Amino acid sequence: MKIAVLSGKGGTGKTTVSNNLAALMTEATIIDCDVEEPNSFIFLKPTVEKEEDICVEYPVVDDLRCKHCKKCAAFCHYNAIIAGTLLTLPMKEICHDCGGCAIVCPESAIEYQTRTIGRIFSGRAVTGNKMVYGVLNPGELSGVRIINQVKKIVQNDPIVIVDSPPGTSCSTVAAVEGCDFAIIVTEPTPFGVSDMKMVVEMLRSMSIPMAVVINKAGLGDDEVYKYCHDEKLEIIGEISFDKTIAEAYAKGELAVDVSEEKRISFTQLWGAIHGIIEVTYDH
Amino acid sequence: MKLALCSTGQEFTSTLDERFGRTNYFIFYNTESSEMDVVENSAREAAGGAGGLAVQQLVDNGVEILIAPEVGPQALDALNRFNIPAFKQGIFKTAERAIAAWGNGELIEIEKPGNKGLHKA
Amino acid sequence: MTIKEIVIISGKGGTGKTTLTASLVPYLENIVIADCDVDAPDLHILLDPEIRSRENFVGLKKAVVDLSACTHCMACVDSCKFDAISDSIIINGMKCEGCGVCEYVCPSEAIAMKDTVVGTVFHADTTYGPMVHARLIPGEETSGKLVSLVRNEAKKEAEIKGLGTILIDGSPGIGCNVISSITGAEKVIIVTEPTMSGLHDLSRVFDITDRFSGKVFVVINKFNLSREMSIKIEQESKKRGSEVLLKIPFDKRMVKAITDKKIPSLAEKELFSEAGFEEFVKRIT
Repeated sequence: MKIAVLSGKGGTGKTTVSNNLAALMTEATIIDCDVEEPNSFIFLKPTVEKEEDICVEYPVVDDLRCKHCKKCAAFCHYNAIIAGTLLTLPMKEICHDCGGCAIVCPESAIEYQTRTIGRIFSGRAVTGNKMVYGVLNPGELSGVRIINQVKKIVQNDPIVIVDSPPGTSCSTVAAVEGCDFAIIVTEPTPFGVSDMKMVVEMLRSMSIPMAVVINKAGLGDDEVYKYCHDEKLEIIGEISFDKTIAEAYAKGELAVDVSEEKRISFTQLWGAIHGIIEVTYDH
Repeated sequence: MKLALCSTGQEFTSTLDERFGRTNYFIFYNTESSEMDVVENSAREAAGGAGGLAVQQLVDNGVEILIAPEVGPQALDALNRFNIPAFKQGIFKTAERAIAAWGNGELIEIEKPGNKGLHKA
Repeated sequence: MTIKEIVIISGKGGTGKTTLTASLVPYLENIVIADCDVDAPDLHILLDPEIRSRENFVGLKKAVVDLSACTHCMACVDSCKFDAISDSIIINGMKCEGCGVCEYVCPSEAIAMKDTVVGTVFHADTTYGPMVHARLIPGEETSGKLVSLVRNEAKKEAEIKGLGTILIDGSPGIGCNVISSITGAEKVIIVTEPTMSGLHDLSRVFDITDRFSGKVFVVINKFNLSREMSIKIEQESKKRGSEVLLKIPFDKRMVKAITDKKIPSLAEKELFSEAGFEEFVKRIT
């Protein structure tokens, strides 16, 4: 069972929800797929047992073989190869690593070298959960390869909680792809509702069932409740706005460690998630 | 010598463009024959890699010197490899004036990458 | 005429990037507004623009299979490095990056690369000036390209109308959208919050802006949530050669303004004035 926690809008409490849920179920694996801005490690303080570099390949032209026929440059859909009559020059930062230039080259003059775009850390969270998270090197354009590798590492784990990137871009798609269920964390503001609509649209097109958690309940207005009602989205939990949670978050502490009351509310949220997943997969 | 300049319009007196990769037009000027030629920059609407595609057009047209506002680090690298030095157009607003300034040795060669291409340092 | 671009970014999402952008709008003159947060475009909620025109946005071409011509030889499946083609030769449009390898290796000409509409770009007018914004179909990529397009369109508006400043609501994160948002701009303002996450993400955004030759400023939103973390953020900013120019308190009145779909700096003038907003505006223009 893979459960994605995502949000559309950033800062609604995606990491708070995924990390606190993980803390209450130590047999679950938690993965942080927000590789641009990974934050779960701040709260879960993992002991890292294994690190691996994630590499992509880029083409290098063998000048002895290359006849400068320009076929590679004509093929490349990303304009990543500049071809002159005496020099054929791939630009590795623009290359998407599709392998096309080597396939079209009649002289087998294209070879690949690798470069690192980020790193994956695996270990145990302070809560006891297995934890894997990826980090994209600043300046790199896309973390999709890292996300895919993080997911591959945990593919056989029985329960996986996926802390997903915000938004609905290719990284988010990569993070939630193959998940059995999605929990959308939103907040009762016009921004929260607007961004959430895009997430709902994305999840529906991917046929992933979903439910909603409203964070910072009590702030804002009731537009989000109306929207969920109209779209028949079940609200399985509400976390009321509370300065003690915000302060714990600021210090990098888990909400379930703040008070017994918070622990109970996240335990109830787990109960609701179990309930809705059972209903979803029984039919 | 064949020069290339980045221009917003198709005339010698048109305002120079402030972009290299996504400039509207390239103006080519042959210093021996005083011939001028204008091509629309096909990289202008490119999805990505505009700098590379712009360099490709210079290479295809046998350009030997580039006069530009600024050039990103990747494109500058590529220009280097193709032995095309790049000069900063600086305060000169039209192709006409920038070419004259280049002739007088008033333009500065671009060595340090500008802020246009951030993909990877 | 030189056109100046000011970009607001945040690293961590939800720190108040859009709130700050909207709040700046009425304080600036001769501006074009561009919403480059194409994954979560929210600026229009507060600025209520009147849409003048809209156009489709075509992303990279994507592979389309003609199953009647397909012989299931699997050549495309084996050569796709993006894992975008299933064993039954169904192409996953969300994973296809449009490289064209499948089209090339297909022996039966059953695959063609076709243009796909992946979003919409809007030209609009607000009380404060023209606005360009966009919407990407959820789950689609090429958002970096859409960001560049929105910026180019905003630049055209500025050129045509003789407006000197473009105010850009950028994207969160540090990936292609952000890089496309700030490349070549004159000033960048990073909005952060006083949390461990905010600090961590800020330092990663600095790694991006370090390569950027324009000026970089920092704004701490909700600074009173943790004064200790606020100090750490000021220290980090100083270390990275940036100055914290504004600190905005957490106040329920801010949330109320947004819920009422009002520009916070207009709805809560006093609160902004006390925080030193006027001086801040002077510093960034």
